[in-house]
Amino acid sequence: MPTWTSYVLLLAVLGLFGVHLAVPATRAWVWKVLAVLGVGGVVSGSYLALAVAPADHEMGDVYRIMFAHVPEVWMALLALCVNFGASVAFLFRKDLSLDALSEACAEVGLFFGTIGVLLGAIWGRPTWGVWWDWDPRLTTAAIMLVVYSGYLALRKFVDDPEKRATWSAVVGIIAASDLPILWFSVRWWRSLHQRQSGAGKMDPTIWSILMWNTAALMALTIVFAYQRYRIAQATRAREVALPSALPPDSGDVPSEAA
Amino acid sequence: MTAPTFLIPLLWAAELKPGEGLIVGGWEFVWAAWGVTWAALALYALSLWLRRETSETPKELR
Repeated sequence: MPTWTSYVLLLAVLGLFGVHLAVPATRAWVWKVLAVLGVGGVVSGSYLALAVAPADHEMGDVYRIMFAHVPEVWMALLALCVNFGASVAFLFRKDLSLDALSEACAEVGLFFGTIGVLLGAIWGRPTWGVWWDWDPRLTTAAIMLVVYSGYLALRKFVDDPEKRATWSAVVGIIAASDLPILWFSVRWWRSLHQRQSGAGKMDPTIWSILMWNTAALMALTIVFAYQRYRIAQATRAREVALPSALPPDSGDVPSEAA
Repeated sequence: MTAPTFLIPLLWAAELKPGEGLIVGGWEFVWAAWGVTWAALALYALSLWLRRETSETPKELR
C-alpha cells in the first residue's frame, strides 16, 4: 500500500475540517462527509491492519494492536490539547461557547484515552507478560484518565454555568501539565514502554497503514467533538434561558415569583 | 561453546523466517483489542446520538 494514499486521506480530513471551520454554512453537511470518511476509514483500516500489514519480526502478529492503540492515544492527546487551548481562551474571553468546546474535547479525549490505555494493557499481556506496570508512560496515562474524569465530575457538581466554566478552565489548564510529561516520559526515563517510532524507523507499509488509521480516527474525533459540542451548546442555551430548568438547590427563587 | 546470554534473542531472531516473530500466536489479543475498539466507537456514537435527541431546544424556547 503506497504511503501517499494515507496522506491523501489525512489531507482530505484536515481540508474538510478547515472548510467546516471557515465556512459556517457548510457545517450541516461537512460533518456527515467526515463521518462517512471516518467509518469507511476504520473499516478499511481494520482490514489493512489485520490482513495486509506484514507480521513484525519480533512481536509477530500481536503488534497489529498498534494500528488501533497508537492513533487512539494520539487522538486523545489532540483532543485534550484543544481542551487546554479552549480553557486558556475562556479565561481571557469569558465566552461560554469556549467552555462548551472544552467540555466536548475533554469527554472525547477521555474516551479515546480510555480505549487507548485498555488496548495498551491487552497488548502488554503477550509482549511484557503483564497487563499493567507502573512505568512512567503508563503511570502518566493513568493520571491523565483520573484527572480528566475528575474534570468531568466537577462539571456535574457545579450548577452555575459561569462558575462551572471558570473552575473547569482552571482544572483543564492544571490537568494539561500531565500531557507533555506523558508524551516525553519514554524519552526522559528508560522504561518498559518503547519510545515513539517515526516514518523512517518502520516498514513503509506499516507506516502507511498506521497513517490511514490515524486519518480515519481523526475524522471520527472531529465528528464526535463537533456533536458533543452541539450537545453542550444546547444544554448551555437551556440553562441560560431557563433558570427554572436548573435543579432546585442551584439558586434562590424569589418568593413573589412562587 | 555456548553463546553469551544477551545474544540468545538475536540467535532466535536469526533463525526465524520472514513473517514470523519471536512471539508466536496471540491473535486472541489482537481480536480482543480491535473488538474493544469497534464496540467502543459504536457505543460512543450511539450515546452521542441519544443525547442529541434529549438536547433539542425546549418547547418553551421554540
